[in-house]
Amino acid sequence: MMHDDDDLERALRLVPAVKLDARFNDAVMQRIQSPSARGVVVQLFAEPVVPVTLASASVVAWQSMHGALTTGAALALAPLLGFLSWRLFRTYERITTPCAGGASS
Amino acid sequence: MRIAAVQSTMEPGGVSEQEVLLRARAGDEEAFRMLMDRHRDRAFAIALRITRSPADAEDVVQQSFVRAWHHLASFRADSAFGTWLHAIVARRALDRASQLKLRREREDELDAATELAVRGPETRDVLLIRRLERLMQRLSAPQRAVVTLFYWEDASVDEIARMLAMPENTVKTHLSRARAALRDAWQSTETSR
Repeated sequence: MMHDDDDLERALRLVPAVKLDARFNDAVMQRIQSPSARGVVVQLFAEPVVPVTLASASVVAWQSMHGALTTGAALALAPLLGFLSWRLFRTYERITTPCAGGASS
Repeated sequence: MRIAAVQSTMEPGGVSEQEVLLRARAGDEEAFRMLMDRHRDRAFAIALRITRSPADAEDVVQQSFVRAWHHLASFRADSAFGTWLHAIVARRALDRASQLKLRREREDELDAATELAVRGPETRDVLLIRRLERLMQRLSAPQRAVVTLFYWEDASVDEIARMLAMPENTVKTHLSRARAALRDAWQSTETSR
């Protein structure tokens, strides 16, 4: 019984010698160089420039169509919305990507 | 302590991991390929253990490396790259395993996974792995993930909880149930020789 338990403990720590061949690296590099739609969004939203610009353009366009806000309010609101959307996205990215040691930063 | 007799991540190049990481973070693709050479097999073993599907395990590891490439800038180089990568792999493998539950061909892939894990000469360690991998099929994917990180990564319960985004108590429950199930099953089987 004790011998069996020792064997199990040993077996649990053994890592099987499974192998991926070198073509694996090429497949990964290909994926990196041709990112998915999500990958493109991740790259675009990595810095606040794109979301702030998008939000600004959207708010200004909406304001010019509906006239619900003054131009000043629209210009003030737009970068704020863009910045908030960028922060939200970055937070989501951090939560879904474990940092070193397994912790989520 | 993880037993390294069966699989090793060391590379006889003499270039330190830190140096390779710095180059990869600067966008050096060759350096990133070196990281893949060092870590892909162990990452594959983790994904295979959790998904029980070689094709899905390879896809999970590919996705994980792509994600690692895009997030290298946020990786703290004072810790092990392997640990960070394996956390990404384990979480993605767990997500994939839950999708696989409904797949009809899963049973065939289970056999393939077990077969893949036990290739090579029939040393005592290979026989132990073969015996264990058959029993692993009886565990749920979260149980396999927790057991794998606990024994292969030397990760503590709270580290596993962070790696898999699970409450600590859930990790403890998975670990204790998995151990009990494996112990019972282990005692009722014979090593096949």
